[in-house]
Amino acid sequence: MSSEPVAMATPEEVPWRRLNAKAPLAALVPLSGMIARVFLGALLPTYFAGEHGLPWGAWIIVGGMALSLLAAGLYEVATTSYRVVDAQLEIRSGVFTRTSRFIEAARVQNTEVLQPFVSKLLGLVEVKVETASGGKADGHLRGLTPEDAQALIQALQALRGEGPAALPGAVVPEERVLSEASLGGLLLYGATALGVGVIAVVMGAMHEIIETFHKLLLPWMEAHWDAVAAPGMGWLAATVAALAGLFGLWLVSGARAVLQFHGFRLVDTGTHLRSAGGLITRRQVTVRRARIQQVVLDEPLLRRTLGFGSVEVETAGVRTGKEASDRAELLVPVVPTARMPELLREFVPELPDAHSTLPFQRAHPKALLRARIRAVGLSVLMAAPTTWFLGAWGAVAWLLLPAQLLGAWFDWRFQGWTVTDTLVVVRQGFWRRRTTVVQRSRIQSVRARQGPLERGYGIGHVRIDVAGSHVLLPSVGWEEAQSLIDVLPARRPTRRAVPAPQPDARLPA
Amino acid sequence: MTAPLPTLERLPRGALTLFRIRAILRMGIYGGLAFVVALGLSLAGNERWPYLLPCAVVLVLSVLTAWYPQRAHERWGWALREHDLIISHGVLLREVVSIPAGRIQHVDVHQGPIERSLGLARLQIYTAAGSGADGEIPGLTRETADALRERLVRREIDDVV
Repeated sequence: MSSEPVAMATPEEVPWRRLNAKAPLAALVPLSGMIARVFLGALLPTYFAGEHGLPWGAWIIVGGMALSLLAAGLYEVATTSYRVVDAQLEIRSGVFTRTSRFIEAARVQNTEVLQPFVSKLLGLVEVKVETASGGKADGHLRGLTPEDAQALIQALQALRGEGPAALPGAVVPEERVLSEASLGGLLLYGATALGVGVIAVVMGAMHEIIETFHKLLLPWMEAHWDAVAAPGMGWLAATVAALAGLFGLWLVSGARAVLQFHGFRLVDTGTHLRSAGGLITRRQVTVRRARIQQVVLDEPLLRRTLGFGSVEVETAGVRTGKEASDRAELLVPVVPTARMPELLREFVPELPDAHSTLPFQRAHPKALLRARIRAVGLSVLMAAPTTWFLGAWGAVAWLLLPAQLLGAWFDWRFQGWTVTDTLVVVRQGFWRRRTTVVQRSRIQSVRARQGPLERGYGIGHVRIDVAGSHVLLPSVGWEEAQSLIDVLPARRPTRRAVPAPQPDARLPA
Repeated sequence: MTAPLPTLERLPRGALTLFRIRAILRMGIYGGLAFVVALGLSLAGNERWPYLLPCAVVLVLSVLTAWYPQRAHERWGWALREHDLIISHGVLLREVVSIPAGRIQHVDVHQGPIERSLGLARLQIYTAAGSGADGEIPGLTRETADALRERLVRREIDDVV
């Protein structure tokens, strides 16, 4: 595909574009990975059963199925073709069973260009086109040249009258850099983002290291047993192990951040925001400004202290992931606190200058009582068995009680929400402060909920759904929760699409 | 802050029958499963005490069957207003949902075999918010469900998401 403006033509006149000849080669690794994950269930028993494992007949069946799936996947990539015609992206694949998918350009929420390591070696990229319809990209083209990928994205933008090719001869607006991430900033971001995945990696690595050096360590410990068994050495060893673990966590987390965001850059192209970054797999995301559903400002305590936070931008494209940052379509990892208001206004122009000074309404006082009772219950549940089994040392676990009570107060005190003419702003948490900004005109549905325990306190909670995401308001009185479902969505005049006489929904009893 | 919620339309009497039939079926299924488990335990040499399990399950579910459907029927309600559709339901977990007009992507009318025999239907309302239905009203008469669906889908849909 060339990068010249897309002319409107009849479907017969528009030729089909094939993927690059090397596309199956580029797809080999990701497809193999996907299939390997499917068959992991068959491999795990073999690992744990030692030499017995699966019988060879089962291996032949599993291997045959895996190879068949791989061949089918590669065949589909090899036969995929696409074209942009009639304001639609049309993707066709298969020969015996031909599948055609039509994605209307106006429905595209965002586009993503990925360049995994193998694709980079082959000089190819992958393009994902997301609409609001499902859990994964609706259009996924593996194995395009970077020029073809950019031409495709520009063609889709042009069809919506938004891209530089929209008006031939028009002056293309200059791109404006909104955010960049330095190596030091990314290391700080990584060091302050210790996820469960990172802990698992470090624990696994430490286990392997101990296994490996076991034979070396044991004779050395036996030779120096007097020194090793000296009073205080146990505490010293525990401290060294804890510090080594923490250092390992920071190291892995920092490396992960650099791999994900190296060279990160967010630019404003006028109608779109485009971010790109990544060391081994380079990811370029293009989000239409008009499609932004929700913006989240993520400021954990440590990052706030160090003077920065992250910004997550959600569109209606539904992305899966354990962490909120994984689910966000666009993530700006490092934003200095001073620059935060300016950047947020790029995403939500209606946001007041000083969003942090907005008159936030606090959570209902009964919510604090509920949180305190829960804190006491949790502490007793954990401390009582510990004391029973460990005796005097187990009694230390009762220190959880004041810690939990303090945590409950902090979480309650720093929650807040406010409604402006156009926005709903929700702030949650003290340790991990997250400020969510939702445009009221984007609200899909609002629901007030009251569980049996909340009923006892006369409170409830409100959930706001936007396309592809949702946010929970802090606890409010049940009466107020019910009234909020009426207040929060922005009113718009409703017109009937068909001015035909309508049946009365109440008529049949 | 704002006007209170409108007076809600209640489900027809037939919906209560539907809820009761479902509760009885649920009791039969769980009771049957508990009996199978008890039979397995009994055959494994645990004498006869495992048969207390299905008895307990049926007893608890009988109480629930007598109490829950009536309460659930009282709680269900809906109101179609100029700017939104409101659905209220829930016995243990109460919920009031507002789906703004113009946000509705599509509406499904479902009829299972029991619903068909009672002349009832279940209305499911979808927006762009998620993968499942955002609102559901069970136990509507078929005519009401069709009329409501007609009114909901004829409203103008806002721009794509």
